[in-house]
Amino acid sequence: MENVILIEDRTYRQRNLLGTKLIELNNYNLLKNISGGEEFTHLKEQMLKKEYSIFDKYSTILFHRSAFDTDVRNGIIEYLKNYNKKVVLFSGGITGAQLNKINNCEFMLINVTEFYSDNLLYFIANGADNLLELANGKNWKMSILLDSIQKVTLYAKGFEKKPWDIIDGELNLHDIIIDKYFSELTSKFITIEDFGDVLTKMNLDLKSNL
Amino acid sequence: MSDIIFSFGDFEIEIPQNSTFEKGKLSENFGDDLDQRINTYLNRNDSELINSFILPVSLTGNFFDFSGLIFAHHIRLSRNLKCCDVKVAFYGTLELTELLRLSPLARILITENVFYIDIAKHSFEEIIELIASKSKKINFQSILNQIQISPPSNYDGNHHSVDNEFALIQWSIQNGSYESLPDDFKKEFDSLLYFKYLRAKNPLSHLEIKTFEKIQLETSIKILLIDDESRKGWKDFYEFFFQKLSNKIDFQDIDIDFKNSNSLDRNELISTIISEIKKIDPDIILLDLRLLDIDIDNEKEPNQLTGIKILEKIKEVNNGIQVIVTTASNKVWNFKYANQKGALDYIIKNGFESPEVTLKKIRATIEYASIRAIYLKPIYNKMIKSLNSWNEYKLPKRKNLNDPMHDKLWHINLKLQVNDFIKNAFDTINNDSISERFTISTLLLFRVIEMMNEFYIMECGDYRDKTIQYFFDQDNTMVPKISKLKGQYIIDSKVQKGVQLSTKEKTMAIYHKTNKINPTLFDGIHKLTDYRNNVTIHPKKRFKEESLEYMYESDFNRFSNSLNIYFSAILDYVESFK
Repeated sequence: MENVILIEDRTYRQRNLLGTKLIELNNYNLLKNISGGEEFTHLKEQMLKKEYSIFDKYSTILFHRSAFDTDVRNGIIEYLKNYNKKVVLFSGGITGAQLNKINNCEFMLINVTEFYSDNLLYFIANGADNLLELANGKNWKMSILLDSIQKVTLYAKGFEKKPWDIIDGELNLHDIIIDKYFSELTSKFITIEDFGDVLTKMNLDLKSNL
Repeated sequence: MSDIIFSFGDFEIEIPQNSTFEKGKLSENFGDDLDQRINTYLNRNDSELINSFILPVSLTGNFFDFSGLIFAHHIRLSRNLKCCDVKVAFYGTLELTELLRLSPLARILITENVFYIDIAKHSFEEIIELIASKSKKINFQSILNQIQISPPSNYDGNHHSVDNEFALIQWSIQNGSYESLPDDFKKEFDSLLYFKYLRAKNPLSHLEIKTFEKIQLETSIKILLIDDESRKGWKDFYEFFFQKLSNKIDFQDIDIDFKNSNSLDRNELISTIISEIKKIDPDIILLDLRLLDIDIDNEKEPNQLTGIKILEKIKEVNNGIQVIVTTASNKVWNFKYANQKGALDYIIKNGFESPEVTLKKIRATIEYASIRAIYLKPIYNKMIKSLNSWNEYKLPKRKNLNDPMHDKLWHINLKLQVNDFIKNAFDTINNDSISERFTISTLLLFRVIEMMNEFYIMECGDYRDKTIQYFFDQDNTMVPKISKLKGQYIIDSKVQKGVQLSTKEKTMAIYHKTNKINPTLFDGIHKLTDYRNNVTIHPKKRFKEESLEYMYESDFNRFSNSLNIYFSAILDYVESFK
């Protein structure tokens, strides 16, 4: 079932950047690739009429930032931010890949060259749910690990013993971090020493991967 | 005074109570690039009250975007802000050396007034102490030499759009048109970190707005811009620039969405452009070579570029239209090829060269192209009309083919040869790379009247024993001698045997047989033959040196009037055969 929509107005650029990987991409059943042509023209007309409900059935929406003018683009973003969706805007003139969250909606702005790369196929192959896969490919866990080390380090400063449930809510760590470093601690009060041990393990993993 | 502290991702940092600390937060306008969001934040009304920034390495949920480091670069490179030199303290858990290994952006961490605190080893109180200490005066040039910012990796990998946009920024600042550029693009230009970096690295030597010498035009000219980036500021720039140069320049662009055209409908796109050109009837066209995505492929041969294909079609519409290639590409083979196909000159969109010098060059190019177009475009139109008329004209059969003076073959091909000689004369004069083009072109035109004379007039006898006589081939009637006396043309129908007729006299006689007297045409033929005889073929002794100078005359201004007279006379003459 299609739950990812990719909208591109510059067909040649998509073909050029993906090359033969475009065939592979189009073979994923979960992806609807609207690349120029009449389908794009029709979609653009719908957007001008503010018929945003077309996106309701998709959990991940990927589109070229300049495919729509500023007002239309802002209208789309305004609509989508109220839903639990992943929204990716790709463009040529920007640097890197920034990930932001508003309500339950995750937004990513990513450079077009980084977007049309192996990372896109990796992201789609894994269900198109983890935007860090799109930004960092197979290194996505490193980004989470670095982020988590910072969080835990700051959180542990002046820390007083607390039950895991409270810490879980306050720290909001990624599931893979909890599974790997906190699974044995979830049933007890966590101490500053526990955090020290977790950070040692995390840093060791980081060093071995950097 | 306030100290701004930023959190990272969805983690909230607790700020000390009763302090000057303020939580920093970028706008949630996620349709905007990070650079734009940072720029908006820094340009807040009270930015002069900011004492320091405390930043994580990354502000967003993706550590590897290094957005905190990008933020610090914005602070330093926004030289218009009073807070540009304030202290910036970073907090993080990685070693500084590791960060330096991960990203060149981390170089800012080792510049003046920037500190990196490993929060695993130090407390927040230490950061607070650090920012409370007196800040050093920074050496911006030294920081500029230490940092390194890469351009956004555009899809073509050649950064042509960066060159294109940076040229637009620098040029429009230099000529005072920056404020008239579209708001969307000014917003992008003003905020993009890479442009801030380039502007700092390439400061304009004189910040004052430059005005350029006006172009004196005899008549109004139309300039047309064909550029996929036209509506992204270039139209506004040129409009402003040309208005200042002359009120006789009518400037417009072709408004087509190039980026949404693909290879499949390229021919249709070119046809649309050519139709527009025919409608607008421009004198000068500023033409970008790479208009579509398919043109960005580096392996493309110049002849495959959309701009080159359009250039070829323009030259079919009117070879006198002056085409100036405008491009951000610096590929010499493209210019060479465009030149071979008839482009006059090129403008490289490059903001790194002195904008003042570049704009002066553009001004000179436009002036020269205008002079050429004013003469060449009407000549081309007249040439096509005259040759069409000539080609429809049924050439009479020669009656005196046994005349040894005449080569049978070229008589058969006279129509073709007249076409070839006149077109070659035009192509020669239109080709700036031929230094003696004026002389060659004139001799080619002269050859046309010689051929006509040989076809229509039969010579009998010999001038050496004074037995020569001239008859029209068609009816064997005597060729009259037409001469000018006190401004009047005198026709002598009974020319004595032995009187030799010159080339121009024969031509006037042929014209007179089919029509009447045409003083303008005769005057033109007279001047053309005089130039040929006195300057190139039989120069008088005292004129020899001067003649050489004339032969190699390359200043279009100096020969344009004569050129117009010669072409007009020959074309009127050819058209008179109906």
